[in-house]
Amino acid sequence: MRPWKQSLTLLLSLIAGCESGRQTPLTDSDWRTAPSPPVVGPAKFNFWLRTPTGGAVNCREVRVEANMTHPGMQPVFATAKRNDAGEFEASFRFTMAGDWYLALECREPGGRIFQRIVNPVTVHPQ
Amino acid sequence: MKTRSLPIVQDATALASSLRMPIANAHGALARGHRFHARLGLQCVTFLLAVGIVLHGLLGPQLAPRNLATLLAWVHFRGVVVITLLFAGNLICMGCPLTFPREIARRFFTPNRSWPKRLRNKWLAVLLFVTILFAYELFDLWATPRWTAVLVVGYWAAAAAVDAAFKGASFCKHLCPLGQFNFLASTISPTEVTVQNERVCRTCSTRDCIRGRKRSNTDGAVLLRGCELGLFQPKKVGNLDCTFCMDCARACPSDNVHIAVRTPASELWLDGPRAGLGQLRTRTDLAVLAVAFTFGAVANALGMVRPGIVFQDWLASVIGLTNTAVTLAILFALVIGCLPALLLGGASWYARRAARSSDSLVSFATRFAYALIPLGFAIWLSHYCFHFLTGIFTFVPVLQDVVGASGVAWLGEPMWGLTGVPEALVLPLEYGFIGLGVLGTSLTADRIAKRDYPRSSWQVVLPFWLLAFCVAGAALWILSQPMEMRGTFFSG
Repeated sequence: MRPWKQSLTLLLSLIAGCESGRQTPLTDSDWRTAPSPPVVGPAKFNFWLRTPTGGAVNCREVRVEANMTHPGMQPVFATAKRNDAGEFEASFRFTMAGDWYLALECREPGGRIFQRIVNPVTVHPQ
Repeated sequence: MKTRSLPIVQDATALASSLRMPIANAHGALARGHRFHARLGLQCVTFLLAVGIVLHGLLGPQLAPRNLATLLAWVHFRGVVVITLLFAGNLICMGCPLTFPREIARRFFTPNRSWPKRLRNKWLAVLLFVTILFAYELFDLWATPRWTAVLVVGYWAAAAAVDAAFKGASFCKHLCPLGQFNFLASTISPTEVTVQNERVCRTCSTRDCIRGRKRSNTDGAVLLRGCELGLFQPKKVGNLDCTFCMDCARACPSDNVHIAVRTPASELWLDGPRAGLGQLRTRTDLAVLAVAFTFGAVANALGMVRPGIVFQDWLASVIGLTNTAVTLAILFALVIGCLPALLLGGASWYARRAARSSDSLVSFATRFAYALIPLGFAIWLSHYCFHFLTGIFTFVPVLQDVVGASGVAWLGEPMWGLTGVPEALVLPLEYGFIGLGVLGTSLTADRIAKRDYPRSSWQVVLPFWLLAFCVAGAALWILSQPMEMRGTFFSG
């Protein structure tokens, strides 16, 4: 493929790929951390995940990505498991003080994917 | 100043060929013997990158680490800028995508107004430079892809508007904050655009390097531009105000302009008038820019560590205001205004007394302010290299995600865990940069003192060395602090 065609294809895929990244924020009442407020070190993150219509999601595990709001930093990954009450819980380690976001991704058996975002969580130094 | 030709650009012919590249291949429709200059080729690439940044910034996910706008602009671009300036020269201005639309527009219209005489200095540039730093902290630009894209578009619009209204490269010379950063930082670069043989210039009658090469018939149309920043090659010294556009090299009928290697920072202690700038010792505006450049680096680094946040919180409690703009403005006024006034003013006062000089305090401060540039650059370099090196591979998963979202996983599944060099390895490098910076500042101050006060140079330079060690100490302390980067973003 010629360079200009490659550039055009990349540009078009960029535009096409743009809108897919939108993620709905989780309401504050649907999540909590322990300790609260969170500090650098181990943390527990509990949350409820609902479909856009308010129903319960049909997945047992949720992939959690914790990353700083500053680009280029080391993200932290964890898998949240659902308990009997339907609440998800993940354990991970905040590596740095500052503002973090948490991105949640749940894949239902049917292939549907739910993505939610937790607005900045300020992590304090120990 | 002693310069040596780079082996790869020994003569003008080699230089010309090294700066040219074919755009189309041998079978392409565009291949009709036309060759675009390397600068235009470089600008095309950076322009496309900038378009990608704007599109993704406006339409992509508003999570800074997952958006090319914030990632490429605030992590990779800044890292590439400082490393290029350190090891090569001002190739950033050379490939600036912001001037690309101007290059195209100038083919269709020619502005005939000159930049106002009253504004032919760096005061406006100082204001814009500090404003950009302030806006970066206040609006958490690193965390907001949409505002980063808006900033890029706004920058383009401003450059296009100014250059559509005024002759020459008015935006680059008098306004562009990034350009001013590059001009000052490139005084540390090992290369410069300069004449190859001064004797050739002495016999030159056309002065095409500044006037441009014009058509010989009566219409006088410009065939090749001369330097649009007013740098007349035979009188040009160093890299200040030079965008490495190579217009002078192309216009010179004797092929007598080339890129040469030189002693980094040597232009800072050279005296005498220089093309487009006059005498540095009388340029208070340029000296203030150098101070803002140096202490702006401290303020910028302070914004990402806990003491900066604690200070702002304390300030808010003392003055009873929680408005971040006010507390940040006070922090900036203290770090970029009061602190240098106190330190540079104090050092100049002591040096003036030691030299028993009748020169004014401002004159002293102006001359020695340029010596701060190596240290200022070292602080920028340390800060930007930290983000660049520790996150050097983070663009890979973002690009994989962007391409994958189009439905074709050409680049595979995003590897979100990919980052860069471990922090523990980067920290010694940062300390090393600060060490080199303080050495550069000390040597430059020493050269300036020996130049102007040969009899009492030791006493004169001492307070400036102390100043350099104070600033370097503050920088090392900031770099050793645990980071605490705050920044909001708008999801959805």
